[in-house]
Amino acid sequence: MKKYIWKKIFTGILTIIFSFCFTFFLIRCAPGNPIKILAGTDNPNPELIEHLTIKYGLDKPVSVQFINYLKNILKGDFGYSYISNESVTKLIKERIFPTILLTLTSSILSLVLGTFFGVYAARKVGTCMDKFMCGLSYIIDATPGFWLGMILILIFSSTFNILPTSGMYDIREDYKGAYHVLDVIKHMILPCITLCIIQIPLYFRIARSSVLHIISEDFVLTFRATGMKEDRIFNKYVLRNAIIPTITMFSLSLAFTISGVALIEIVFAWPGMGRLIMDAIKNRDYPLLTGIYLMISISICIVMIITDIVYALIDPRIRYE
Amino acid sequence: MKKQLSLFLVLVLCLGLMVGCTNGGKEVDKVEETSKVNNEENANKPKAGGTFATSISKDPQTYNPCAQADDAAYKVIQNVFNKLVKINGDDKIVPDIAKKWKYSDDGKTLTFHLQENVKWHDGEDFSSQDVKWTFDTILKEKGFASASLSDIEEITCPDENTVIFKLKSPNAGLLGHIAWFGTYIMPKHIYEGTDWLENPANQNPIGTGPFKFVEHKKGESIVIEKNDNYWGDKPYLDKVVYSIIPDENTAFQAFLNGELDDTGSIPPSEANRFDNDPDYVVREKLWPNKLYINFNLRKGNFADKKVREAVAYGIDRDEIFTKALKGIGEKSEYFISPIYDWAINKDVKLPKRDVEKAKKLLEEAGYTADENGMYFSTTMDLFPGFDDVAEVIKANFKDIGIDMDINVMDDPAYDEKVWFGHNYEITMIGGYQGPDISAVASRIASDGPMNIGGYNNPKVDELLKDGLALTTEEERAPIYKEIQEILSEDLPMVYYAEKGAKIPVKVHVKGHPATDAKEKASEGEFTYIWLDK
Repeated sequence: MKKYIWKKIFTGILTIIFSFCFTFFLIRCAPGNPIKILAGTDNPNPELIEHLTIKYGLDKPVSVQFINYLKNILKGDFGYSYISNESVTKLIKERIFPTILLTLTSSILSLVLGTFFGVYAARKVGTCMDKFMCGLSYIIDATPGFWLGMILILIFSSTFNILPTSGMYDIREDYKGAYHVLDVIKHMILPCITLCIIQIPLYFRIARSSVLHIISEDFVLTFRATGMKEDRIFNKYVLRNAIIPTITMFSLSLAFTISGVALIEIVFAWPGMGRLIMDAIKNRDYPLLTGIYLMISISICIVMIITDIVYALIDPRIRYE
Repeated sequence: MKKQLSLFLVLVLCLGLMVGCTNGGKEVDKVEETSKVNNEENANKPKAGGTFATSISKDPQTYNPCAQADDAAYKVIQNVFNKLVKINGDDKIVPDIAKKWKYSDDGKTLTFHLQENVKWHDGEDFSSQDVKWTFDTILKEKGFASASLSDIEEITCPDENTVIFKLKSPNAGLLGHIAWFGTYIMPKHIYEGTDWLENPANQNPIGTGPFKFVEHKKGESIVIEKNDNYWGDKPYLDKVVYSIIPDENTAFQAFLNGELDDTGSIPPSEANRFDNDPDYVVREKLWPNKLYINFNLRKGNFADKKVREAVAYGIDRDEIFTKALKGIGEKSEYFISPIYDWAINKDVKLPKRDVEKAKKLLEEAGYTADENGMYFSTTMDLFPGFDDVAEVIKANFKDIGIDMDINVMDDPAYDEKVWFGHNYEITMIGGYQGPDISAVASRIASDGPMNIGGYNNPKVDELLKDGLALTTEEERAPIYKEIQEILSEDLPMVYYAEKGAKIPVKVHVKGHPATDAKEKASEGEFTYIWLDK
């Protein structure tokens, strides 16, 4: 087991290094130049552009920039954003809490609801209800999230005026304590519902198909032949076996929690990481982007290692392979 | 029988309702009239206090008001800092922290007399030294406005409240550049001796303006509060909150349902919906800002003047204006913005659409039509925002036999390919060309920073220089009229519209810079706003 864990950690580190190098050069391959964006296009000043290019070391070849960046990273310095001149770690830190709050809540809610509906549909397979739920899941799957968000705003904020359109706090009031928490929850409802609606069909289909798959296996038939009660077979044997794909799905979505959900964050003006990434891309803010990508790849690797360990614990066959 | 009876009853009910409604309506009208009278009486007695909520589409990156151009920060900066002179809502130059100014007779000295007893937000005294330091630093550190201020030779401060700009050559356009952008007076006592790009005050600005900066929560909001020690007309509002809402449609919904008092984000498709709405006052605004098709004159199909002429005849400006621009702004007729009506050369107009003439011009240019009637194909490179206009032009081009693809890129990619790389055939741009007429130089002078097509006509350069040396409209008009004549012959660009906007202001918002306070305040300045609710 120890060897297994070390092997996973080693591949994790390799993945991080590879993805870091890859993104570092890929970002710089994109057309456009951050300094020229800084200087503005309405009235760009060639002298300012030259001044800033030298200041940020962008006059040097990319390989030299890469080595300089590595040196700084080893000292724990992720650099400063070109655009705002603030440290990359500070910019990321500011966004982590709202991001995790929104994505984690909605991931857990959709996991629970989606799996519940999926198992329900699988038990009622072939009935009208099952057909209806399957059909609905495809329709929702084909619905773009930002559009759904917009429609929810139109219904709940503009027409009925019961929920706020956007943001994380009431900008006019300055709530403290419990009222503050309530205020955040109120602002979170719409983006959270939107995310859940988009994610539920995923869990629904996985749970439904894997339950159906397990039910058709021979051992279930054998249990039935022994006269064991249907509920007992289902709860004790089918469900446990059917839940593994769902765990994979959930851990995948956990791994991406930190990268946020850009389109939904934009529609609801939620101060999350997705927006930070989009802005950084638009501005070609290299240090910020490299920092964010590095952090995302680290978090993905950590979650993946944990998932692998959990698998090994659940299913001993995996750790001996 | 029963059915007939119920039908009759329904009819009676409906009639009753209608009568009731009309009566009610009259009463409401009366109430409105009296409240209007009350409002007019109260108009001179603004109510102090309250929070004003508006939106901004992205996070400001730095509040250093002179180093770089940051459109998002600009909205906040104009409430926190002062310039010497500013541009008001009518695009006129009005006093800000300089109460008077004067050009010397030879046009080579510009003297500003400053407001007295001005204090910075941190309590320090403001003086002419701050002005000198600001402009010296902009020039030395290559701030955003440094290129347009390069005619400044020396700045002196004979006393605390006077600043004298000595110029290398007469420049009537300089005052406009000082009034425009990147020229806010910065606190010398905070910035002196530091790197002005990294000074902590860039995230926590100290100005002399009507509002003090409070905080900026990244991705959420920016708060500024009333400056009780403001040297000028004190603001009525207690505070202003800028909510950061990246999506235009979301901001618009928040504006409609009252979460915001004001927004800069009105989707173009919604611009006409407030026209007859009693809850809004709509200001129709026109900027000295022409939208145009720009050609690469160095190479490619449009380097040939006949082809450019064909485009001028080929596009349907009426269709662009009504369909793509939804009738907002104005259709272009002349070669200069209608804001400068004193300088318009009425003899040179943009041509009326003539498809046959356009085709003939293309044939004269040596093209022959293929089996589909197309003379040649091209690609229009664009940055986002011109989509509807581009579609209309694409259809217009098809009529005259040019097969055009539209290639929309994000800003950085566009800048690299078109703006700095000049690797394109045809594109569209626009932008502010004021407050002084001489600002057109940046687009048509051979060394103009926005002359991306590479237009080079020594006669135009000479005329532009002459235009700077003269100050009265009578003297300058013939010069700019001649420039328009040359432009109509060379056609380095084809204008199609004058940029405008319909700005809806909620009736409870008084003293808005787009309406009541347009003469005193700059475009996004909230000094005079008060809330009538």
